[in-house]
Amino acid sequence: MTSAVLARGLRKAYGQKVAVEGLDLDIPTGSFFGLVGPNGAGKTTTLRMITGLLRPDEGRAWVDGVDVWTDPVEAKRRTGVLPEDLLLFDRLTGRQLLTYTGLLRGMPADVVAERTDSLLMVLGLAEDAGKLVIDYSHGMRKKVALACALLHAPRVLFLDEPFESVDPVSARIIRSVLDRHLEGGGTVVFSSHVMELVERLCDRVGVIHDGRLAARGPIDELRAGRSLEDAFVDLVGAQRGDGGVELRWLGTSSD
Amino acid sequence: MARYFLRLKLTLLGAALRLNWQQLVGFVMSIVAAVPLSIGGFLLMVWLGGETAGGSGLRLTLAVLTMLWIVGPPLMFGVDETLDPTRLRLLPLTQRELAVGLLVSSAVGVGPISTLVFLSGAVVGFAPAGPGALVVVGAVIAQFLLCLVVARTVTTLLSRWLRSRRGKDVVVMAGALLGIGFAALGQVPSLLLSLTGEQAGLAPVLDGIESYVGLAPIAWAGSAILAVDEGRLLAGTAWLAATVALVVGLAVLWVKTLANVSTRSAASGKVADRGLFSGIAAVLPRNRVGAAAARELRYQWRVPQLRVQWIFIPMLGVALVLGALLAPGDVSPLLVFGSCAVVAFNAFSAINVFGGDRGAVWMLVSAGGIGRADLLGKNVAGVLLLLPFVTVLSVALAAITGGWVYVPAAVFGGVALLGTAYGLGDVASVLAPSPLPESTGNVWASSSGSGCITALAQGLAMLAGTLLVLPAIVAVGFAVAFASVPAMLLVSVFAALYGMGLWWAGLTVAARVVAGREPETVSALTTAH
Repeated sequence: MTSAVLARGLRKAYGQKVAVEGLDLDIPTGSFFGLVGPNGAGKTTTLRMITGLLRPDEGRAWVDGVDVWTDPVEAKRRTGVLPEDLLLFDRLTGRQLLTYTGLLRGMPADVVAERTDSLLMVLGLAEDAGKLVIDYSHGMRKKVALACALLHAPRVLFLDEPFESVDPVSARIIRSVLDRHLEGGGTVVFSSHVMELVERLCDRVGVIHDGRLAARGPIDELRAGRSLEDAFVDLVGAQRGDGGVELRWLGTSSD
Repeated sequence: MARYFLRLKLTLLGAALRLNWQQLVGFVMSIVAAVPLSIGGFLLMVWLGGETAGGSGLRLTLAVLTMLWIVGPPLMFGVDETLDPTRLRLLPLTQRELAVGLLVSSAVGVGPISTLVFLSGAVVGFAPAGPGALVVVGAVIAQFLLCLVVARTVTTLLSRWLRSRRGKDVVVMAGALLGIGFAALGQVPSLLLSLTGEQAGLAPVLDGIESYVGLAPIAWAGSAILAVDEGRLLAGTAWLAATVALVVGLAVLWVKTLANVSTRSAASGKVADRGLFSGIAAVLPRNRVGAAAARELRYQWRVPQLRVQWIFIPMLGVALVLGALLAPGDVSPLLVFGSCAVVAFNAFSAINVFGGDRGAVWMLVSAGGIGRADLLGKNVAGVLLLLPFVTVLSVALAAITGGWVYVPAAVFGGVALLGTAYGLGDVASVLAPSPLPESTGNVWASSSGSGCITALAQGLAMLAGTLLVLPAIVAVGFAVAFASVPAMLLVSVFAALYGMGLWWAGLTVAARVVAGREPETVSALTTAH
């Protein structure tokens, strides 16, 4: 099986704080890969380095066999990205944003128009296609950003917290679209800290903790008979939550 | 409760200053601006109470001050988060506690303290010995409270609209337009003087304005002080009572609206579902350059900070045409070159072409990289918007002044200016990209103070641009003054070619520079709010 994503020795520091340290990653083609870790573990930094949005201090990354930093144009042609912060050209309408994104990627105008209509329809955005993206709800922004990431039919899709703050109906729509992407031979890499979701969707998982890859492999192997959450907590070494304080006064008074 | 609000305000102010140096610079600059204003205001009030002025102008001054308090806070997004009732809605506070707390918070800061110093000049200037002094002091306190309460009431009444995207857009534009308006207003006295021909003519005009303004509630405190100054203690007390009643009435209205505002949501809007290439963009090719230009055309109108110039540039054109039409006597045909002035205004935004895109530039990187096509598209959009305007304005001015012979030279001169501005702008934009300040979701949120840093960088770039374009301007100027018409045309064509050469060189350099700095460009436009 070839690698959809390969990373070797990725490192990134922000001043004194090391966000990612010597990270190696190997994601097989056709897999639904979950990158999990606590808040601030280095998931977003890792994804940004692999997608060419953040220059690593050290290390290299390949997408679909193409070096992200020596051949960025070809690597980005094979990559679709849905970032967590959803910074979009949001003073365009949904339809204008998709048209713009398609033409930016050098796609023929008629193909862009056809795919734009299909994506808006499937993602339930057709009625709001004429609304400025800045006026969209959070879930709608996620969906239109996903449409932008899918428009050029990338081989590998990177999604940073794609289901956060998304209602169940939108989440189901997004999942069905991702399934179609996988059926077409694509790969999905997504980051999350919602273990139930990762357990339900992914076939392989990588656990990041303190900027290092603490574990990786098929999800059943990693769970070893437990829930993913238990396996995850064991791996990252959770502390006793109450710190010995009992908080007996909780719920006893209105003042 | 009030002291908790006071401590919260002071803590937030301290935290904001520790957060980043831009905020500290902004705070220091606001103090630097406030100190001369408040001392100047204090001295003005003392002078107004003296023999020379005899109280004339007091009511007008107080009315202007109150108007600044009405217009200012909504436009500046307020000063701090302690003034946002929506942030406090989860706390078990009564309406009264909330109102008192917010009022105390709003009384602390550079603006309120400057206002108090300003107003206290009236006590020194107007207060007589005896009971009249009490009325003057009361009127000054009432005027100060009026400023605070009227600002809170207006901001609270407008807050639902101000929180909507359209409201925030209008606020951003209105702030910029108001700045330009104030600059224009500064010219009014000299205009009046030139119209009346002598200085004595100005005083009756101002007195006339004051006699009307004096009746308005925002000048009642001034009427109270004036009445005491004229020895009419009873009338002064009555005006003071009216001012206090006004403050109380506004406070009641404010408290009532506070309850509504913290539980209502903001509104949103919808635009017509037109494609990316509608309108003027229809002429553009359907490729990356065309798409970049088409998006830029939308952004120039939809990003409020950019839209300001497209409101102001036509206003400038209309002013030039009206000036030429209404001016007594013959107007010099050289006024045709006035059309080039509009380019200079556009040059400001050309220095930071990615500013309006902000963090969304990652999409360009993700689509293969920020490149020549994106910069070219932005420049093409600017040319599509500006060059027809320069041409039409030159023709209009020529029709009025008869300076038809200068029309081609003015248009070529416009191309020279535009080329220089865009060439230099492209390089500056990739070397020092900075996001335009975002209109935040909170109308009371604090500003970062980064505006003055951007202005400084823009000033330096403008200076460099002026030096670069100077040879072209001097050459055209000499040709207009001394050469024959064909020679003048030839020189202006060369000036245009010079400008286009600068643009091409700038574009090429900028494309090369940005190709190696894409992640850094994304970071600069994403994080530096």
